[in-house]
Amino acid sequence: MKSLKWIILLVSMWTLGACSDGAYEPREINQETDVCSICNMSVTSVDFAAQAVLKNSDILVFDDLGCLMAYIQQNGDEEIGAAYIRDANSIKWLNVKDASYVYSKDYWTPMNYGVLAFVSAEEAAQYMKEQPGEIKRYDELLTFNWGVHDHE
Amino acid sequence: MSIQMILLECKQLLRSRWIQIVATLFAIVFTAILMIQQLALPDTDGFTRQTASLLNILLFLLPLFMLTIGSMNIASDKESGWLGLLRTYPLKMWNYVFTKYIALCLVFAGIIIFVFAVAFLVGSFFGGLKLPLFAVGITLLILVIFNGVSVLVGSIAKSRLHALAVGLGVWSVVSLLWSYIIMAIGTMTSENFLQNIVILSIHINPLEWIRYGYFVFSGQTAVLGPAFYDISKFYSSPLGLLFFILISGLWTVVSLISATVILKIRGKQV
Amino acid sequence: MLLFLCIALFALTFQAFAHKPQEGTPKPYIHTGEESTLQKLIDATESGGTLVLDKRAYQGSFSISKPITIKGVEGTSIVSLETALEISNTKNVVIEDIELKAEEAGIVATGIHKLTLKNIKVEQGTAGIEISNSTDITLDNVDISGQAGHFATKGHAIAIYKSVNVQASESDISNVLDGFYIERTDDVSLTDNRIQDSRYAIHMMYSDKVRLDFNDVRANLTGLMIMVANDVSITNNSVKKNNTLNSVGIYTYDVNKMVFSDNELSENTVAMDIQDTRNMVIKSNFFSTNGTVIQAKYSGSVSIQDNEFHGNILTARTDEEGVLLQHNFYDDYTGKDYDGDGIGDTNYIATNSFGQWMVRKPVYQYFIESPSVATLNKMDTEVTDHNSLAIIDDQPIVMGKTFNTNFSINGWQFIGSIFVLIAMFIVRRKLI
Repeated sequence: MKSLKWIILLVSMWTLGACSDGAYEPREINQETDVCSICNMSVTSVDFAAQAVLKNSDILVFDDLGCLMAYIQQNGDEEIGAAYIRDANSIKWLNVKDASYVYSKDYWTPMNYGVLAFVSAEEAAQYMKEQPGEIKRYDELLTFNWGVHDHE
Repeated sequence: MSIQMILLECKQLLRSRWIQIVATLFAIVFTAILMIQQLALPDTDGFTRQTASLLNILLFLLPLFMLTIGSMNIASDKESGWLGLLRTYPLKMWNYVFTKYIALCLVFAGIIIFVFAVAFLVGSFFGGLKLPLFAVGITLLILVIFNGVSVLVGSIAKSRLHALAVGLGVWSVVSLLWSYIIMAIGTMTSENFLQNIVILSIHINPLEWIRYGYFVFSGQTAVLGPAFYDISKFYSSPLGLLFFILISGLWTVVSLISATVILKIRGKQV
Repeated sequence: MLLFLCIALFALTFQAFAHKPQEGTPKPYIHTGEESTLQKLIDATESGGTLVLDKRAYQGSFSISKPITIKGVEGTSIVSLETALEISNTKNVVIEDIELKAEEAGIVATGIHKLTLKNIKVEQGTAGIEISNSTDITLDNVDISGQAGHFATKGHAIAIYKSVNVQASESDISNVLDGFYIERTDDVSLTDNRIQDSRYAIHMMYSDKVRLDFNDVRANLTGLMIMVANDVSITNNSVKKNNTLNSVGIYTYDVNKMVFSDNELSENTVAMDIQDTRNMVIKSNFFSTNGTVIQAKYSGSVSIQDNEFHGNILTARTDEEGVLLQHNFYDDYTGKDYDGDGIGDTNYIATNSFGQWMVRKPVYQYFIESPSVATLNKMDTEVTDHNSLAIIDDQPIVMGKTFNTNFSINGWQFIGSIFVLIAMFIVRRKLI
């Protein structure tokens, strides 16, 4: 009986382990329970959310792109399998390395960092026609001075 | 299975010195904790350190008593030859196992009522005691599940000493080592994996199961953190409740059936 | 069609005619049911004048863009399918004694110097009151309530953006997203407000010189959320029952210079979560029956002194930087005070290994105060006395425990338990 229990435990642990590897897929945001891993705010504005899928299959959720970048600045990106940001125009998740970014201190985001992500440079340009801003590259975001810029 | 047999078993159990000591000890500890809670703290219905210690006393001591007393009782039947004698009667083994189980449940229910009565008696001098309702539910659940397990342990054991050893072993694994092992595994794995193991362990370890039941039915799963939101949501639903009762019942039924099977096999070997 | 147009035209001219004689006269009582009545009244009131409204419901959306005082009486209300009241680019606006029911926001104000809202009641649609780019805002007895349901679908009760000098007092707010959402606004003082059943009671971002006093905050996801702020003082507030998932009593993130004193925090999942905070003093507060009292990250300079801790599960959990604990009272302190100076002779250890694990992996929270962990903690406090990572108070206060021993016999319980005991005694006698 006891050994049987152990076998069940081992088998289920193995299956659980097996389920969790594979591609680093983004998950749905749960507005009721998800909080940002950096600033602790609840993720109610899903349109600005970001997430990092770690290599060990843990998923960290962020309420604003700036918080994801703060995480990368603090912890490096060795552990991260893939990181995603929500497209400003749709409900798609974009890999942060492929997205195009636009910054303006007048754009509203949950943490007021003012950076939006778009699926392509064209869509970003289209958006800037209506709401002026400046294009940012991904590597610029890594060294960007998040949050300090407009704290008069 | 007759009432007379159950009464006979009860009588036998109540004569035991060990049971009397246990009842007294339990009454003292339980009353003390309730009184501290009553006197020292503001009236709250959340999960505080005092509720936690009350819960822990129940989770710690009751299974310990049940596992040792129940298993030793069956083992002593074997040692004294009483069980061998019973085998010569036209008596089904499940009948014996069931009688034992019911008798154990009755005696422990009696002890618990005694303990609660003592606590209330002392508390009545201080303006009345408020016993959290969960305490009653939890004790009932412990009673139903762990008496089943103790019958199983008793059927495995060869002698009283063996029963004591196995009972203590099962108790220490279930209440302490189990969580330590999981916590240790957690230090090496991802959080996601740890969460899955913990959820698995809730379903495998009866003690964790009862503890988790407390949090669900007292509506305090928030204490456990956001990781268990989804599963707690399930168990808070009517379907979840059904599932909960089913698994709890399974613990008892499986324990009793395997005890019967083991005793039968052992009987044939002799 | 032509006929319809004619009627409309006729009605219009009639209306204009009807109102014209009243311009300038101080008697604006008009009882027609036209939707635009209030707007006409506002337009008719001279700049800086006072408009007294009737006891009735005004339908529609209205805008104000000049100095004006609008006063209602008991029972005056504005009902709108959109935003009820828009105030823009002016100064000295006072609105008193009005009830607002709007499908969208109750009041939206931008670019105002000196705005006073007094005795206002809002049944909020998408939002309550939104104020931006304004100075000298006074809110007095502004009550806002949203509908029941999860907060993720609601709007803020009072949102203030890019403004200076905000005073709010005696407000009653419930069932909204954030009670007060204050962003890039300096000189804020909130006093005597009651906020409950919302996401965050008070949520500040990028604000300097903030004073929060005597507020009563309960049953929210998080009580006070102070983010990226400078010079904050929080005193005499009561923060209770913020005890759902992810709940925190007070959360600070990237805050510099903060005084937190004389507050009462009880029954919160985590009483205070402190991150990236510098120059913070937590003094003379009362913490009771919280899950965890202090949770700190990157905030080694935070000093916690002269507080009282009662019945909390965990006193502190922190990262390597720790926090400074000194001269507090802990009800779970087991040391003695043999020299009688009121200070315990041995150190109080606030953390344990289990608490540290929980900071790293929140899933460990499952084991909080489980039998195994309780045992572990007992052993832990014996061992970690010299562990440099542990947070230690080397001057724990020792007080006589305050037992409220009122000897009053509860007759029913007394008789009941005696009866049960006797019955059991008899049963046992009979059985053996």
